[in-house]
Amino acid sequence: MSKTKIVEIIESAKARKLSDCFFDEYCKIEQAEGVITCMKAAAINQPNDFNRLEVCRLESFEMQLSMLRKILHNLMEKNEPFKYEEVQEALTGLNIVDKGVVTVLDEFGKTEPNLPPLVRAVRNSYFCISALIFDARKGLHDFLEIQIEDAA
Amino acid sequence: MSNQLKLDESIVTIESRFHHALGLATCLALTKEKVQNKELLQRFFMFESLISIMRDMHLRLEALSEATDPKKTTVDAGSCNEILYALTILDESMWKLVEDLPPHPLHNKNKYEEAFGEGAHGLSNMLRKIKVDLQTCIRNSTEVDNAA
Repeated sequence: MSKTKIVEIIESAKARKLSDCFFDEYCKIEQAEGVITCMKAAAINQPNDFNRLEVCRLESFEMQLSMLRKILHNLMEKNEPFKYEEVQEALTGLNIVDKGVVTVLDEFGKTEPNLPPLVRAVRNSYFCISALIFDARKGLHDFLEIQIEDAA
Repeated sequence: MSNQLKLDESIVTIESRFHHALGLATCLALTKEKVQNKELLQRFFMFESLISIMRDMHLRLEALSEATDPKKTTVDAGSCNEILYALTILDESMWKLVEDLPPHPLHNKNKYEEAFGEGAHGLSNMLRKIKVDLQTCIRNSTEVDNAA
């Protein structure tokens, strides 16, 4: 079955209240965004330990997550049949953020072990972000899988 | 003699995730300077005391995770249950601290106040998962007969 056909079937399916479908994923993204904001506050407070690049990187993740949260929020508010591509768009966006976080974590793995406590705290927080994004990704991915299975 | 347990390797992951959660808690605590809401500021006293408990617990979890070292193969069962109990209390306390944050009428929340609320929810979820994993780890552990 072609993807277009699947989309047609899904779109013609019974209207769904997306707020029920994506609530958990929305919360995870919101939490990840909150954590990033706090990490940024920590980095800005200690300019000697964090360079500007680190702060910019956090700002970038913060903006990406904020955008994704808005995409999901719009879907949730629609209260009408969803478009497969819209959910896929959110998932793709999350995959991109996840890749970025994983890259940062890989980079940390190559650095020296004796770090200031706050730098270590911020780095450890990246793992928490990664876990939250993983949960949200899994939720969206499973949701799309179920839709495709139902349509088939 | 007290019972000894041989923990499986999941304890290493549990310790590592708890370390990450401690890092997150440390970052969250630093938003205090940006918080203006008095009610929320009051919660920081509790939050900071929970962080000091977390630091102590992390040391104890580190000691447990060392038990996977071939030279130190078992841990005291009582010690495991103590940590699990402490983690349960920590989880409950953290949840009490965050459960009414978003719907609570904390008017004029600034960006950092909201971020703290969201981040603290994320932390609470992490602690709950860690607690469940530790329960499973202890349940799956093998009792070692010292008399043998």
